[in-house]
Amino acid sequence: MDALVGTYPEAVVILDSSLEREFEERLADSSALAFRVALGVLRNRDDAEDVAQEAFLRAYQSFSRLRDRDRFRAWLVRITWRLALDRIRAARRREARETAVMVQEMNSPPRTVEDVRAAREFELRLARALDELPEKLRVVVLLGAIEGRDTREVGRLLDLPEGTVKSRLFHARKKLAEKLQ
Amino acid sequence: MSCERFKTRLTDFALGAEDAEFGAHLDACASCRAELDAQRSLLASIDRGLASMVAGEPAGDFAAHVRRRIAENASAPHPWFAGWLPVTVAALALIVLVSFWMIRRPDAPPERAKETPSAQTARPPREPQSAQVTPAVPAPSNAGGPRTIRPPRPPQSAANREPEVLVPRSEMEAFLRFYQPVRDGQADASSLMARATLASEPIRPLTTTALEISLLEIEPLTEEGRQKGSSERR
Repeated sequence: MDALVGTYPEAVVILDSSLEREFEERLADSSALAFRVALGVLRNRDDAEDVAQEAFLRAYQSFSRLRDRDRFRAWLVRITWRLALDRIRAARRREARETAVMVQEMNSPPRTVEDVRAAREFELRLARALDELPEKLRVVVLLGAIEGRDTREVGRLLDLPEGTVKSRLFHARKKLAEKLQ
Repeated sequence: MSCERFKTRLTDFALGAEDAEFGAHLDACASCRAELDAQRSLLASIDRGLASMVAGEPAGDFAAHVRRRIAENASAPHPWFAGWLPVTVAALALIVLVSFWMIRRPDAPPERAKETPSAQTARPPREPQSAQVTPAVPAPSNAGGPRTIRPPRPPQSAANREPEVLVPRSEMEAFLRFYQPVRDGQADASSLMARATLASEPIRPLTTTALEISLLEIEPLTEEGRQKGSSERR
């Protein structure tokens, strides 16, 4: 995954008009994917937007090699994931990481103060348990959440066999359940 | 009793693992059914929590921001040498390393460079100071003859190397005693000289006196001496 993320220094790339159009299409249909991957790691909307934009900038620079739609999405997920992890590490170094929890975005919002407190507590514990997962399980469980547990699509994005994705998803959820008992 | 046996399999079952035996046990065990419900509820909460973590859409102007960043990147000044920077840095680092290596090893003989660390450590320890005084030429038969003293060499460049001096063997010990503090920086050579001058009588310039060689006296041979010489030759 790391090998796909170049760090130095970006050459100026100007695509021709047909590639520009293709890039616009990819930008339109994959921006939510990049944003959600970043959000799953960073749990902060502003940071996630910034990282997703950076990922698209990198994608633009290598776009002539990544025109195939499936390859593009897989590459975008990987680079976004790596950039988001880098951002977290940098933030941890500054000890300024935001741990915004999106309790208000829960599917079934709690009604009482106790419920709100309990939900917040649960979200924090879940975030902590997620961070403790090995990276290969964490990326599968987050992509599973993004793709509605579509293991075939997750496999395509990570270039893994579907059976491997199912197995990792199983173990990841089991570990989370054990940590949150 | 049997419930304890299934405790570890409960989470797997809740996650969808096939377990006919546990399924049969559930029909008869309300406690395990309740626990399974709790486990499924926990997993559902986890899934909801995960989904909420990644829920959301990027802002409406996300694409515009991406385009702006691409444009900024394209218009940002990129010096022509930017792509060569890593190569340049690597080359400079190499030059510095080679220069450093050459400065550090101007006098080292080639054999020494080939020595391994183990060979260096296996070398016998250096002999004491006096043992380093070795003759540069074969020692003359007379004990009082001049000898070449090689003072121990600190690591110095060729330009700074100390000269060799000739010291009579009888004065070698005194010389070394004088030289040692000067070499170690404990004493200044000129001050030592000044002190030596004060302590003894002033140094007079060398004077040379011509050798007096008396003429050989040759006495003419007598007849008796001539005969004696010829008989000896025979």
